[in-house]
Amino acid sequence: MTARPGKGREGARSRAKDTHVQYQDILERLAARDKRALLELHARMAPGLLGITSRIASDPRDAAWAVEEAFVHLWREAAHFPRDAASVPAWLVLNVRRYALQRRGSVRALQQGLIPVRESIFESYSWLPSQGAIDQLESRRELLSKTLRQLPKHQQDALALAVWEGLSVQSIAERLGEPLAKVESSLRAGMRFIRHRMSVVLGKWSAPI
Amino acid sequence: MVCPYLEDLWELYLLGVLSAEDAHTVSDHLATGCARCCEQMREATLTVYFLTQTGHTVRPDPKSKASLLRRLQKR
Repeated sequence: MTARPGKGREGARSRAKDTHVQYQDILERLAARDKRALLELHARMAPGLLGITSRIASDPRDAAWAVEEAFVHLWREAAHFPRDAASVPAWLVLNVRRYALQRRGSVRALQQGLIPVRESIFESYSWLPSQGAIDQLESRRELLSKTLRQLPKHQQDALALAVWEGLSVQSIAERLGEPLAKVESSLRAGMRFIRHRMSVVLGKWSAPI
Repeated sequence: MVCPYLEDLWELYLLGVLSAEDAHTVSDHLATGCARCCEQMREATLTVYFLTQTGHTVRPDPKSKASLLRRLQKR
């Protein structure tokens, strides 16, 4: 019988280690073309991922398509995924957003010819946080979520349009009927605040404010 | 381009918010392999992950696993 991790910091550390090992195991099996591993990952993550894509896509079929596309993409790339360094959940979350926005047709990059730049980011595993960083964030999520509610309303509105509609700063300004410079300044200030709060709550960043 | 100018831009770049000019400035700088900015980009990715999580779940269609398996078999 396996001992269950206890409560407190040690317990959290132990649970994080378990999560890391579980995802490493799934990735190894994916790389070995084990379809059951993909289905296990799907069972674990699809409800949360659908929660994200359903907020972006108005049609449930588009939301489901975006999630499926991300899993097919992961299956294709599993052999190249850096098992020790990068978080699979982080990759899936970032990519389902991208696919859902693509489906929605509101990705500004499509119009501006920036796809190669954006594609290269999301294909690049070197930007991905580690599973340890994700686990730490998840353990403090409730506290961090308060940060978003502390933002002034105009910053919250601008940020929501950026995250959930994939709008450019220009389009956000038009949508909100605000000057471009004000919206740009709001977004930057909002991100600075969030970054600072994360550095405090997670206790490890050097990001200045 | 000096790095401190870019500090406010990482998350906005990842979200696709920036103007084409600013986006190219960021990607050009990243292409230089600047270690400091690569680390900040990793931190920004964590922030975007946090912003993108809704906390809501939606039950997948019972046929979604079968659909996924069909896609794998086609490959």
